[in-house]
Amino acid sequence: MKINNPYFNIGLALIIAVFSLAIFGLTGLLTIIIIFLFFILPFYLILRKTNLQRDEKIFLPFFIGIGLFSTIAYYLAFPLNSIKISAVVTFILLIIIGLVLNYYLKKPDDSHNHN
Amino acid sequence: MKSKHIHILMITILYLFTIFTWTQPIRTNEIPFGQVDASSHFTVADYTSSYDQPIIYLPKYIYYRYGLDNTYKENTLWYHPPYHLNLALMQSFTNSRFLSFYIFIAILCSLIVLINYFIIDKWYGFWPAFLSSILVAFAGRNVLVYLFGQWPERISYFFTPIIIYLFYMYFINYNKKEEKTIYMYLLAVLLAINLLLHPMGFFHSVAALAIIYLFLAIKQKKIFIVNLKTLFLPIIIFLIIIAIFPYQTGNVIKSFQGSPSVEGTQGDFSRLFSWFKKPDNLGGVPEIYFSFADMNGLWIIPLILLGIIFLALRRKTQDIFMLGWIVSLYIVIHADVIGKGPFVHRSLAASNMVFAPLAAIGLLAIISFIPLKKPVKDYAKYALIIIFIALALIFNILPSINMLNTFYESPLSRLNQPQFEVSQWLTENTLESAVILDMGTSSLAKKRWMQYISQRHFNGINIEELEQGIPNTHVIYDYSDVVIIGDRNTFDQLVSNEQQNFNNSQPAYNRENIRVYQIEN
Repeated sequence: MKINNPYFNIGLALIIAVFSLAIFGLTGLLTIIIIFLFFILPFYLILRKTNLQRDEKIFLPFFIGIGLFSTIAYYLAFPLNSIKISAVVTFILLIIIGLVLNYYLKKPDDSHNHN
Repeated sequence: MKSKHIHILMITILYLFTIFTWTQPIRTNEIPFGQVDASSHFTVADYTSSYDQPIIYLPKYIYYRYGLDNTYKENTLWYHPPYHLNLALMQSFTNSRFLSFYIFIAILCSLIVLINYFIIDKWYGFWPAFLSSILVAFAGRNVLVYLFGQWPERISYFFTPIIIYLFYMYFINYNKKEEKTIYMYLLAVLLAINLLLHPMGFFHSVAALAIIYLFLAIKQKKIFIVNLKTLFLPIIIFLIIIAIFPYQTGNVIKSFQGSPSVEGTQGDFSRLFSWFKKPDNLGGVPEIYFSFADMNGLWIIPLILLGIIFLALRRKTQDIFMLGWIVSLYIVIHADVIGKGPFVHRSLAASNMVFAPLAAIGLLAIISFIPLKKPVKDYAKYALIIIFIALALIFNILPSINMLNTFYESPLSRLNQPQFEVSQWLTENTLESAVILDMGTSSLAKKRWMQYISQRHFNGINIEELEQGIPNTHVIYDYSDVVIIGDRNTFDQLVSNEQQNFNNSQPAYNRENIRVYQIEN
């Protein structure tokens, strides 16, 4: 499944955002943004330079995120004494890890990566 | 626009429509819904977000009901924390106690639509993927369990196809001598997360992996079909992740060791000849849950059988994976026959995600069984697709939408507005140590919801041995349900009790058929 057309992807994101806002109001939009920021984006960055297929790198992060993001945030919340702060710190930490991995790892050979 | 883009647009529209219909109970009414245990999922997340603190030991008002549920370490969380923490994060960062909670629940409980599409599209192409996604989106049992509130179990079941897919990707690459260890690492991570979300799904995934492995080993006539050296690190990763929460993982292990079947069907070998026979004792589960016709539609049975025959005859690698999956599910669902697997009826809720793709594959297999030439073949294919969608609309989509629209319509099926308001009043106007006696509220589920929305201990509705001898500080006289029911007897009893005990007292709260009195100790 090739989904590498940026205009199409932006259009899709807009449809989801407008839907969330129209049906659930600001809470709906915020919920979608939180899902994207906490559960998808960090793990997408971490998987980006692996030799997974491109669509797998978009599809799988959420399922890793709902397990690992909250696990890290749970334990960080004890020293930080706040779930909210620990979630933000977890987000920053994971983004840094993702960016570092992106910087140092070579681009994977994409020739076998499409169906 | 390329056809792939159209396909993605179609599945996006289907999923947004699913979310729209699934959130009906909360879009039209902000009052939380769910049966008795649903409130426990709410309260763990709610406490975490409202106090901005993670839970190790249970707060008192949760302890009285769930303090013994962790058999490994009493008074600790009985589920692994991630699921509820995710919900708490939604509540905290959206500043919405109920709506964001339920939006996220609806997303998690219906994610199988996208998971199914992603995997089946890769294995069998767009139409089997799209058609089966329609079926899983509106499968009666998926909707029913979601409405009931066994939420963590839902997403945990959905991990099984993802784990199967990762094993498939590892296997086909390894077989081509192009081993991609990343799939095995991810498999280990997701299998561990599967356990953290709910152990039921984890056991399904392990059973599926075992049976698929067996099928592949038989097909390849060798015992080791994976690189054993590759397994070492993934196993370590898996163990580390599940060891992160020792109390909860300990609880899973202890519960698993000491959990014989509670279905009372041990030795009933006639069970083996049906997918699931309705038990004599329904154990609080509605009868409709056990009806294949109501939950899936009888029309899919011939298609499922056709799908199985087609895959068994063709036996491509993905076919072996599909067949292994359904065989593993059959074994899990019948484990009670040998006295294993407590609550096997709950595994029924994982059936549709196997049935749906098999039915869609079966439908399109019809074309391959009949020798037709090119243009006729295409017409026949689209005719079958239209018939499939029409049948799904009649037997699956409309009944499920009706269930979503009407399940919590009655003010007796979930808290009514006065009960919701008094619960919130209790939080703001009583001490955390308050102990409430609730008289008049019509169901245990409602009392539990009031307990957890108020974050106060309601006496007499939890574990008796833990609650014994605790004096009440407040009494609620709740006439709101008896007025709706028109139950004169209960109404008179409540009035008489109230007059007898609080004749000269001023209620601390007096609104819309509900009064709260503080007891002078």
